[in-house]
Amino acid sequence: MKRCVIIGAGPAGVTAAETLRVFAENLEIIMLTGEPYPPYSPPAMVEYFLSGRPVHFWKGENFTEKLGIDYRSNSSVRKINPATKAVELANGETINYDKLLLAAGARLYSPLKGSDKKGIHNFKSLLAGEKMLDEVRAGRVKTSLIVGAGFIGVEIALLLIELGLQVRMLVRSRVMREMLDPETSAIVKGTLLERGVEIIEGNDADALEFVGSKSVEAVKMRSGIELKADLIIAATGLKPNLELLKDSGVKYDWGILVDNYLCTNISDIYAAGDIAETIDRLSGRRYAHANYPNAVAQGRIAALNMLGHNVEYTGSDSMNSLKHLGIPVMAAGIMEGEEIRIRTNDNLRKIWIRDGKLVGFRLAGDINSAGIFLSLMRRSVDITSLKEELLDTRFGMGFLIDSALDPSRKVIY
Amino acid sequence: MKTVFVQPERCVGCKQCEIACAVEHSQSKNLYQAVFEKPKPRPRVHVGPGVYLNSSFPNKCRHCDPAPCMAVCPTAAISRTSNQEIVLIDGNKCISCAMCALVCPFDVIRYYESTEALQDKVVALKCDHCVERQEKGLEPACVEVCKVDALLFGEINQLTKMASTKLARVVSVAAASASIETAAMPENLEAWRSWGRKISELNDR
Repeated sequence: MKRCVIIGAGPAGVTAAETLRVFAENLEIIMLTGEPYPPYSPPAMVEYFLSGRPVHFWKGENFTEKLGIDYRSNSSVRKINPATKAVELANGETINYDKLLLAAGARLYSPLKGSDKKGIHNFKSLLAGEKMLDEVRAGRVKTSLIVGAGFIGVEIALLLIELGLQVRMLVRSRVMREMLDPETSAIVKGTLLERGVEIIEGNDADALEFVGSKSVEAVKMRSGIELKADLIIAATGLKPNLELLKDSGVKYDWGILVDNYLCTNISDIYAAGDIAETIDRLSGRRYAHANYPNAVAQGRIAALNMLGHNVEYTGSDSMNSLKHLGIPVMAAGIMEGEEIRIRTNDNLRKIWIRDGKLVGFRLAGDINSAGIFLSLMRRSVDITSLKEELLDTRFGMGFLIDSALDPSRKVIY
Repeated sequence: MKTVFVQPERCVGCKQCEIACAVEHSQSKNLYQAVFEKPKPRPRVHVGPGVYLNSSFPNKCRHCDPAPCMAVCPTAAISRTSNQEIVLIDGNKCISCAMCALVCPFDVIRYYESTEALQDKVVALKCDHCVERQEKGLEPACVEVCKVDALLFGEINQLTKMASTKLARVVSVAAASASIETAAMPENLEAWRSWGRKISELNDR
């Protein structure tokens, strides 16, 4: 391999480039992104918008230069041609590759009617975020309306509240429905309400419509009522950026289909990050796991395999941690099997156990031992003899060390 | 490479390591002044209770390599020192997303205000292996203060060799009294073992 082309400059693409450089000093690495910025870290965007500190350029603004990467911003890819091993840019230029990594991420997915209207904001890229913040910084907007209350929707709501806007959220059934159980979800909702966010429930995406004459002005609800706002934001979901794969022969479903080595159906073309569908370590379900740790892990594994090292990807983790809420909230794994819980005021700890194994947990307030839970979960440790102690407020490494030293307890941490 | 080695069976749960750690990471480095400081100095070693009445465990960062916390940090606030021995958190870069705490299998990361961070901002705090003390040739504060040698500081290879030798002895004693063999021991092997036992007995006389 002489030249590797990476499409995308997010956590997956950047980690892949770093890994390639460690093992191949003289490899030509070309990184393409449609955005005008140096590589940035999406989870740090909120902090950047709040404080103005450029923490989102997490590798440094001259990272690509330092690593000897041919970095091309403002370079959208129009299509790829596996037959000639070439990438075609929007400006007509073609670039040949020996190995190609598809790490172009995902974009907003909005199933609402009127989604093609101008002026609908989203938060899925720095470019989109800056556009939204330009309105806020210029003082052009006072009120905002967010459609969707998933992880990103809640993050935007908290950001806009901090920036002094009036915030309304249109929610289907409840806040962060997919990630949280009803009880933890209610804690998040309570905190959002306390922070001044107005939450309007019972609004399925297919019953809503973006309305406005030229650009979006309001969201029309099922009842016919139109909610107006200066800033209208869609946070209805994500969709992998697959347009460039048209007629390429690369197979995809919701995201790009990859094997255990993150290779697509075409050898020499790999995929990593939000654009790829990978297997969940626990549920075995295949889907696009949009989070930073998975993107980084996949970027690394894809790079190693492009270099010919044959490293298997062991699966993605469904996990997230909500910041800026005021109280920490963590979610990992699935919510199936036996549920055990303990609650004191707004401190809630919930664990799901199936066949003697910890398969998921949700924590609000007190997040101690979260890492231990995740480790027990990922390694499928038999926790039968620990079950009574997992929710003990004093639970921690001490319990595990004692259990490991005592053979009658049969816990191997 | 130097490390702190924990002997949990020796820990009596006195928490003096916690106090020494908090003082070491205070601005004044003096206990009586440290308690009045803002932000309040916090320990980065945590003595947690065990399952039994009087068991406890001093839990601190293992400075893993590769470090899972470092891999998931979305602002690159977690890094290794140039000699690769110590994992450090830069409180100024931390956005307290808590991903590091979520993936730390040893549960050593806590969130508190810090002198490194902006005022009133809570950031990730964990053991820095007393990097400043080590530069002066001192051992970490928790080790220095431990009265029962539950915490030892030294070369990692020497410490693990000491522990594995001890463990090998325990296993060989246990193996002499119990056998996991499914088939009967062949006669020649049995004779070889009994010869060894005889020699040991003679040596012990």
